[in-house]
Amino acid sequence: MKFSTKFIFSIVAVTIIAAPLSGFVVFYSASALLRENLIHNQLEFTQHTMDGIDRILYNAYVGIQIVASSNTIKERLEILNKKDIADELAARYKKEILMRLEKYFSFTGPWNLLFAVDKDGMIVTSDTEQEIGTRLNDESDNKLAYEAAMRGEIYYSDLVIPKSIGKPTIIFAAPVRNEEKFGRPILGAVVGYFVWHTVLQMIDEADPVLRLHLFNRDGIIIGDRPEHRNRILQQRLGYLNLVKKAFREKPSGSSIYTDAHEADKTSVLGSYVLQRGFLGYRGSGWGLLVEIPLDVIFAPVHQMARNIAIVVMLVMGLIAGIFNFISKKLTAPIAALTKTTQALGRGDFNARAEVTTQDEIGVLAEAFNKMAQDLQKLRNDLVSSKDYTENIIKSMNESLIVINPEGDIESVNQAATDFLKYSKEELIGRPVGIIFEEEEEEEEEEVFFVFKGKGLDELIQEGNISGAETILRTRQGGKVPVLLSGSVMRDENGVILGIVCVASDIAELKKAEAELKQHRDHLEDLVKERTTALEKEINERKNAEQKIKIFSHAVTGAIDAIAIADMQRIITYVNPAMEELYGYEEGEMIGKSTAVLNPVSERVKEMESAMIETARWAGEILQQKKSGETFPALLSLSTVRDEKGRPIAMMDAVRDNTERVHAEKELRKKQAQLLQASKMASLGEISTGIAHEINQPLTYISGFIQTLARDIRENLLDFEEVKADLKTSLRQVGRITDIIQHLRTFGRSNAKLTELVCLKTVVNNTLLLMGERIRLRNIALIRNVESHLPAVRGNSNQLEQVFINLLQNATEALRNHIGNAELRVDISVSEDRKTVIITITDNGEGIEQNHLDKIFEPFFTTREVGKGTGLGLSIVYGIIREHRGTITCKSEKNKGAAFTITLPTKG
Amino acid sequence: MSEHKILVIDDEPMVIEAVRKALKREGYEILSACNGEEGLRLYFEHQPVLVILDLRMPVMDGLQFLDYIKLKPLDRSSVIVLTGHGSDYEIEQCFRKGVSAFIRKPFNIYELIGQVRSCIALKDMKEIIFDLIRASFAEAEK
Ligand SMILES: Nc1ncnc2c1ncn2[C@@H]1O[C@H](COP(=O)(O)OP(=O)(O)O)[C@@H](O)[C@H]1O
Ligand SMILES: [Mg+2]
Repeated sequence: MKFSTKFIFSIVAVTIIAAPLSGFVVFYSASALLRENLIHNQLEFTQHTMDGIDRILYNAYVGIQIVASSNTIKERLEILNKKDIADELAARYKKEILMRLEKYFSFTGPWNLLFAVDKDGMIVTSDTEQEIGTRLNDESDNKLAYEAAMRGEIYYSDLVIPKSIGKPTIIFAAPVRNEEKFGRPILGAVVGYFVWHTVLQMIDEADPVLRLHLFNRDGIIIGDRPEHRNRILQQRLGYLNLVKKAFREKPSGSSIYTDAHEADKTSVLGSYVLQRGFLGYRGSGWGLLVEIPLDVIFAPVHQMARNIAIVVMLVMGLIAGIFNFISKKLTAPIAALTKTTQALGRGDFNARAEVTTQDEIGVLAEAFNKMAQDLQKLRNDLVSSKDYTENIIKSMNESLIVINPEGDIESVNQAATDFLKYSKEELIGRPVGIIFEEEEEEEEEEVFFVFKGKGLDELIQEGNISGAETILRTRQGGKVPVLLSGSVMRDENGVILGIVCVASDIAELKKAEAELKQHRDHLEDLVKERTTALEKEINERKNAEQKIKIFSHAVTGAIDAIAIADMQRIITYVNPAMEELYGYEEGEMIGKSTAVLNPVSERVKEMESAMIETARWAGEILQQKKSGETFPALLSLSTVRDEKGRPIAMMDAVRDNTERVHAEKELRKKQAQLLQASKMASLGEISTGIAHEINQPLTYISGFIQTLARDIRENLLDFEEVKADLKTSLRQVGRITDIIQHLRTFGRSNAKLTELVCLKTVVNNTLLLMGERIRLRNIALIRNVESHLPAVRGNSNQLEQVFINLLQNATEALRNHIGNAELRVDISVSEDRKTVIITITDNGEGIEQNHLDKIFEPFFTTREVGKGTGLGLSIVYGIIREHRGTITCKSEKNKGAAFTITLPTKG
Repeated sequence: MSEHKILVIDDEPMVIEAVRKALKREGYEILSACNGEEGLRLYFEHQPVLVILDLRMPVMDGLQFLDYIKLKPLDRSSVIVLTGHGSDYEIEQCFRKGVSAFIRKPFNIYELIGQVRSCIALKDMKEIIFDLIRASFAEAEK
């Protein structure tokens, strides 16, 4: 065993015994204290619960006395006791007593039943009617109560089940006395059945891990946890013994035992107390037993044990760690010396002991190192002489292989092993065949020639070969081409000693050769390719001729009218469709100028200049028939060029556009109608807001006028006040006028797109109609309109409709929004001041991704039938298009939507 | 006569102004709030004998306000609703929530004054009866 190990072992042994021992002592003393404390607390809780029950019952005890002291009951009982009164009167008195009892019923007790008994034991009145007038049964629990009360006692029973209510109760009774007469004669009694459930509730409310058992002096259970209620009123011998023992010894205590009554038979701590009563209420000798499972109550003790164990473990670990460190320090120099000795033994003469300590070990190490140094020097001298020749061979770049007369490899140099990827040991002593390629006989004849059978002999005969090309095999089986030279070594007697071979790598050379060959092959391919290309060209020519034929048929049969003119605009060719469209006879157009087709107009000039500039033109233009009649057409003019790019002819393609122009007109008209319809729809939607908006100033004005009239009539006019109020009224009239004025222009349908429109005013007007709605829906409206906004050309009325529709949609999208609903209107101008950019953003419900490309379509709506028309956005789209603007929408579901409009400025 | 407090809740300052003018001779102290939420604060702070309430307001509307205060017949306060519109549903809801009167804007000042007076008189009467009952109880106890 090592010195350090011994040292550590002894220290650890001491800690392992000492630390847990001290931990255990601490735990033992602390846990005893803790346990005692917990048990004590438990007992205190039991006592507290029992006292609580006593307090409840004391309340009933006092309550019954309060009832008995009621004046009404006293007086009426006294009269009723005389028995000589009329039935009618008796009935009334009884009724009065009953009313009193009912009043007390609500604030004393609580009672199941409360009744009064006269001095003859007759129930005078009770809140259960069938008992009225009956005499108390001799055997009944009531009888005991009544008799005790008639003796002047305040009575309370144990828990009983009277027949009349059929459930457990405690009967309380108190005498009713005439306080004014001498001797305070007893007139009768009041009896109350206490609601037992009040006490059970107290048990129910305790912590669910506790098991509470309330039992009376006979050991009968009278109260238990809800899950054991069925045990109530059963006798338990255990409890009986407990009561008996308790009375002999002490009225409260605790013990630990296995609970045999419970199904799980856990160990529990039971604490019991006997009833002490409270003031006048002395109790009926009940006991309360509270059981709690040991593992629950002693959980803190276990926790403590765990904590102590952890601390002990940590301490032990720490001590072991510290000693380990110290011992390492102490034994390290010795270990170092030992290691050096071993190294020297293995032949490593460079080894030195690294000991720097100043003690005896330090001195020893120094002497030792000196000895090792001497040894090393001696050895170095021996080695150096032999190295010289070896180095030469080593530094050769060619592979050197020496073979013995048996054909085995005797030695190889570094270059050979590197080249062939073998290690020296793998080659030496092996037959030379493993590195020489031998299979493909025809090609590597020379190899066989050299080394196999006859070859070896011949080399031996000739003495040497040089520069033979052959192939060697590497360890992985790869083939490498080499140039091989060899020579036979003989002794002075001519006996062969071996063969020395030198091989040099010619892989690079081979590669260059191969490349040359490839190059030649490629040239041949090129020639072949060129020939096929020529063949193809000839084929294409043939195809082109075919194509021209097809083209001419196509032009002749085309629906579009086509004409070809020379550079002087003289028509040289027309297809039949052309003649038909312009109403000419066959061949009649040839030789005419194209000018006859184009009636003079601005557009023609535009076309001419475009032809000069770009040599092509396409567009809508009026054309003239032979009859002089004009018609709208789509015309495209282009210049035909020869292969050198020189213009040689002009081509005219014409299509009659009459139908389309007509259809477009129709569409315009429809759109205008649609716009008007949607305006009316939005007016309907926003009218409540407008009504509200008008109603407010109106309220002020009408109130003002009426007050004024009244003040005049009553001669109480205050001129200053009236003057001020008049001003306010006028302002209110202004508000109303603004709205009405605006409604008037909004409703009008004019389609002129030529006004200069200020977008700021448009937004303000829109909000005049919409603002109220937005505000009432708790939507924050953020307006951000750039100052010095250039005007746009268009129709303010229509642009207002755009804002109304977009704001309406946004308000709609924010309908179910909870908190922070926000609507932004941003208007800015682009840097070059050529476009105005309007964005309307909301953070409402957003648009489904797959709806985004449909929302601008007419009649697309996601709103309920009857709520949404699906026209709003399509109208917006139409208006913006007419204003030569664009509209786009970005939206993400549940995040909101942003509509961006651009409009060109007036310039 | 003690000064009665009336709380007017309306989001339109002009309406509050008109009510103030109509009631200027009656000697009430008039408090005002521009929405239900602010109204609630003043209501609990000052316990006015009467609230004149608009229905459509931002932040908290009139019906929500009524839900918060939960009017009961024996409360100290009563409420008159003063609004520009009022669907059948709204009128029904208001009375179900214990409102005493429903007046439309623009209002007739005599109607408003009359309703205000009778609401307040009713509450005053209630107080007197309560005092009487309390006194008789005290008597009986002795
Ligand atoms: N701001 C918006 N947020 C969410 N959805 C919108 C918004 N604006 C328009 N939409 C969607 O586009 C649909 C078409 O709108 P619109 O053409 O105005 O017709 P409508 O409002 O009558 O449904 C709406 O039904 C709605 O689904
Ligand atoms: Mg819409």
